[in-house]
Amino acid sequence: MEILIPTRFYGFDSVTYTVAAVIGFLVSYYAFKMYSATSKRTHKYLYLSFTLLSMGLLVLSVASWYNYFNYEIYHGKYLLDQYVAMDDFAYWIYYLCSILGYLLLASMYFPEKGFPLLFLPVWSSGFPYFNVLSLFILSYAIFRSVANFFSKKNMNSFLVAASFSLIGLYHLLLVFTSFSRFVYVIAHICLGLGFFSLLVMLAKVSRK
Amino acid sequence: MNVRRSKINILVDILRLVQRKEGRAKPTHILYGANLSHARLKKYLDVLLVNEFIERADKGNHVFYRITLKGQKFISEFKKVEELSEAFGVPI
Repeated sequence: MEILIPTRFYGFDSVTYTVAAVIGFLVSYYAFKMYSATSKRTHKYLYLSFTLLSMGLLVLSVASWYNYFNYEIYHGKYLLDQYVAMDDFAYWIYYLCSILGYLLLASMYFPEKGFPLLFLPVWSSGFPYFNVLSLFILSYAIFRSVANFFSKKNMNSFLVAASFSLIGLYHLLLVFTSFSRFVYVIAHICLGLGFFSLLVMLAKVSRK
Repeated sequence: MNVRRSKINILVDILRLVQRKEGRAKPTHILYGANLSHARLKKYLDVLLVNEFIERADKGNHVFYRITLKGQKFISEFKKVEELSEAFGVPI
């Protein structure tokens, strides 16, 4: 599948991945603190899921910066690619970390025995459908977070629901990047806003 | 819905109760306030005393408990945990 990226957007996607990874690690740190206090399975899943998601995004941001510098500074002389296919390597790590991260996030909302069942659709699906698969897994977490917002009706639950929905929208839009360059830009804005929502929620909670 | 309280919730309930009583929390107050049996209350109070979240004060024939600074900090940190849990929609 061809991915259309506007030339002027080169570098901005790298920034988005880096910022998202940093915020993700911050969420993971807070989730770890929650897990330390409660020893709850749900908090452990939250902490592990954001650690994995952030690790994936960090690897993706490194690959993205590598591509950006090769394109902008070295004019297409991919310095390390003679030794290792950097893109492929990074994307595989990103895909694996993200799928596992989303699985843990969805499992957080499942009852105790839900986790192994959730594994079933994943390993029978293939690599090219990563974004569809991510959206499929994440949709349960989106549904639960939106339901949580409607039951609690407070700003923090809204920010979490908005964040999960925007990250889901990012994956949905990436499926359609072969149609227009604009879609790629909107998708990355959604990803950035999704993680920014989580940052605002963390700031609101930790400020008290 | 009947939700069973976790150990951490019981400990925080006791701490909040002791905090509300402002240094004049008697074991019977805590017993009824936290809705615990005597044996379980003793177990939880021991945990809080060992961790220095509360301290015991004997005045004549009466025993009182008061919250320490460490206990107050724990309550405020736990409040953040509760808020984060609520934001994600996962119970504590």
